[in-house]
Amino acid sequence: MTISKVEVSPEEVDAGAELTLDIEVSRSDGAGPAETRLLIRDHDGELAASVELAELDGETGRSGAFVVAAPLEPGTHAWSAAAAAPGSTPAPFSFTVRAHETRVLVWDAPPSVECGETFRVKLGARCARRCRPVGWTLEVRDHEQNTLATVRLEDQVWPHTDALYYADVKLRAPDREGLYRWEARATARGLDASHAASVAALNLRVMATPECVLTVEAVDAETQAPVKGAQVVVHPYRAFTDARGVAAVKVVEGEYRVFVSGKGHVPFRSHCMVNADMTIRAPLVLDREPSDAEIWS
Amino acid sequence: MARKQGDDGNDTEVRNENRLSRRDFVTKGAVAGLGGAALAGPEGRAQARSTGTDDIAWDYDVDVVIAGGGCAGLTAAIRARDLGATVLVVDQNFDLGGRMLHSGSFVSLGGGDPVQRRDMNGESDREGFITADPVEDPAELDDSVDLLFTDLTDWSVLDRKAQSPYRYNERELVRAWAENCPATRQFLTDNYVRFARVNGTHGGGGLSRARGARCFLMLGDRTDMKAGTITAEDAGVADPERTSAFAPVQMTNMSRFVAPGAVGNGVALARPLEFSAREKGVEFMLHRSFEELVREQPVAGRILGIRARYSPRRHPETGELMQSYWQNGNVDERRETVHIRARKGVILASGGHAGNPQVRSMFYPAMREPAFPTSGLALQGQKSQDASALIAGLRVGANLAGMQQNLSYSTTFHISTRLGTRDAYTTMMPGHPTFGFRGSAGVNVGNAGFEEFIVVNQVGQRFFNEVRLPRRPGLNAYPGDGGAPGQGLEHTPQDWRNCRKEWVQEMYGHDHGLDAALAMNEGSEPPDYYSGPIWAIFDQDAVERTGWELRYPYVADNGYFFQADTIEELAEKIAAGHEFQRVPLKHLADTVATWNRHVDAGADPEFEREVDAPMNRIAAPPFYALSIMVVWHDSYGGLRVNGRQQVVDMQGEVIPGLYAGGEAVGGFNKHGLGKGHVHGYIAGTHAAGEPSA
Repeated sequence: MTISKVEVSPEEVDAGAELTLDIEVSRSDGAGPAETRLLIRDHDGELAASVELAELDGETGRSGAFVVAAPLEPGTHAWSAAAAAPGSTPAPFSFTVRAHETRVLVWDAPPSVECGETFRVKLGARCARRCRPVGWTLEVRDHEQNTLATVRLEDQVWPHTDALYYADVKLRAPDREGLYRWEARATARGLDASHAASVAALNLRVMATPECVLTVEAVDAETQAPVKGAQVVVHPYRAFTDARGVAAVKVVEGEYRVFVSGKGHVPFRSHCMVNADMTIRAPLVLDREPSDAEIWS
Repeated sequence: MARKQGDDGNDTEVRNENRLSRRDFVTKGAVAGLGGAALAGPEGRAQARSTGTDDIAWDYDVDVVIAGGGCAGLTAAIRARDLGATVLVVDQNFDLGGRMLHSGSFVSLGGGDPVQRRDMNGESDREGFITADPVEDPAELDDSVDLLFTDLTDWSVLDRKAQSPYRYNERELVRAWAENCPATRQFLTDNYVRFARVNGTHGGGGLSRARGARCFLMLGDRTDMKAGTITAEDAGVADPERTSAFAPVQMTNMSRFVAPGAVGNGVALARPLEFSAREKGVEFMLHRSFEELVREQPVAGRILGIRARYSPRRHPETGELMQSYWQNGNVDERRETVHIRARKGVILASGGHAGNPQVRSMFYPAMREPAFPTSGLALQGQKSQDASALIAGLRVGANLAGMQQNLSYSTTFHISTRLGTRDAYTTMMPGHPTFGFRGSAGVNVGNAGFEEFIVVNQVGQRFFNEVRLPRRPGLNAYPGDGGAPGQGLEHTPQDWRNCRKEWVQEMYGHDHGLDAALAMNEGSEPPDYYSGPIWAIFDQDAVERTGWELRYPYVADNGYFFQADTIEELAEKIAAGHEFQRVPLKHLADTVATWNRHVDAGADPEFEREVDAPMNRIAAPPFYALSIMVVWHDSYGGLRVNGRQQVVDMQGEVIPGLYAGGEAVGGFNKHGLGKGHVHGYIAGTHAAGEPSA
């Protein structure tokens, strides 16, 4: 009996994932009693699987689709299939194993920090195959590839996510102003399957110590009532108004474009030169879109 | 009344025996020369027409057949019935009302109509429901037919897109419409429709006077069209997340324009008219799609009747045939095809072509994209606005009018602010049997909400300043901001200064975001080069800033909303889960990374977002995608008709026995119900007055 065909699906498979094989045999050699068992061996000759032929019709036979676990090591793997009978000629076949795709995320980074200030960010990692990356090391490097911090992922999934594991890390800002491009990268250790390296950007705006306080009072333009929860953006500074509709933003002296928006309001926009503490009143106009009744009748 | 013959020569059971004669009736009509090439039907299928036949077996026989039970069709039906005609309405849907049923019920008429005069005099309605003071000053209501006609044929008015909303209107059509506005308002009132205070005017209704009023019912302990009352449950106001079988769209508070306890929208217009029509003996054949006109000769002679095809609408969950809210007057006919003879006339009121991507693409090729439907898809079904009247009219030699006017109304096509649903132009909630076709109600983020996300095309690339995407130019209506330098009483019709070049340059105010949304991109492939769907992409921080409720019934797992742990996973889910996503969003991860760099830099060199609104990172998991819909709402081009709503052929001659109204008609760039009701009133009047064939 000879192996006439080995179908492999997919040809490229994630490490440790399911690999589907379907093997056809022919029995035109007239060999003795029917041998119905096939042996699948890996690149080291170790037995990976055995399967009974599911279909036999005289001269041909077929295993039907069956599943084996792909190796954990990435790369091209040359395996073979042969009848279990001694002396059978193995038929080679190959496939490619790839490392699991991994994504590193950075979030909750402050929009700006003062020179030398310590701050916190969240780091997370997610395997596309939903592996639990507990014990992975996440590393933060600065713009010169100096390692600033390392943190090990615990068994914590970030709320509302499926398989995003995370950790909290404390960092210290550089002593000089500027927009820095740092990065976070994952080093996958401790898992059986290989995982691809992943890097995420951490953009950091470092500012001098603010000298002034820009106070924004957000009110509804029609009722003059305070607007709570409006977002104030004085790039790169950000804040939200409190229950009194007030947000105090510490800024360095300079010229700014001020936006106050959110909660269904048209963005309020103003330009101002800040060289001392000052207050802006932001009358917010509700975003009044024509109703369905008005535009469709 | 309509007479019916079964397939086997025996009468089939009918629901309304007192209205349908059970006499055998077979007409071998003198129909000749129906030959011709096979033509593509509304669904693109080839349909062999009868060839050289003179033996059409009429299945039904009535005075007036009306295709479509919406605002024009119902009005025409009642009017013709009032004048003594037997009337049969066929409609492709399972219930009546067309888009009128979930409209806002804003009926803009004028010319000194009874409601204008009522409000001028400070009077209440005849039932005394209205206790609110008039909204408009008497001078704003002091209207005439001549002023209305002048307003709606004003060559000088431009809108903020520098287009002429009134210049190209058919003058005979508008004159007849203006003359019939007062009578139509009275007619509607006489058929249980209650109008609130006049408040402004609808788009295309003229700049000089206030002419529009919405319809209302009063909340009560029973739903009664004669009494003018409706229960809170039927009105959909008992639960903010429920509508009812009676009202597909929740009714809104009308106390400002009526009195405490008043609610309104299209339900308060469509249901009273339907009730009146059924009460008066109009008959309805639902689940029946108008397909073809039967004319004596291919392009000559009288229109004899129609052919209509069974178009059952089944419940999205149970698969059962859906039933109209009211049943009296329904003709339960389930044969595949029936021929209906019209002894006096056929009235085409089956809507426009906004739901037919092949037809609408003649105005804007990019709108051949099937991802973007017309409004009211769930309620109306796939055959809504399918250009059936236009196609059938062309087959018998009809002319067209005002086709270019599709491009002259600011809401004809637009980007909806309701995201996460394909049926983005309605507020329908669970409770109406067709909600399942919608699947999700969507999240209305408003114009302001567009600052909270980025918008990407089918390959995951941004294409426009997001906060400018949903903006629409003002409407050309009293007291709008539609472009004329004078509004209301200050407006001088037909004054050259209205379109003085310097003024137009000053007032021009149109963002072309929709056109950017429809543009070809690297995922566009021949022959159609579809732009593909567009997506709002945002993160958990945006959800917390805005309070958007990303839960059922607002969003659902229906291919129009996705959530993922990473941007890459989000792109994969969209590509796998959206019915019109033909290519992967291969740029999405890079687009988000670039956007975040722009946010940190405080400047968006690609689209200058920083000028208009704050920018926010998209970084906090999970990540979300909501579909954004381009909606082609209504139609302004269509069949050419004269002042009697008679369809006119390519030689300028009337096609005997054929009438049309509403969105089936072109040459009248007026939005909404006011056009359709008056068309129906005129058509019903004249069709009923035809000699019986």
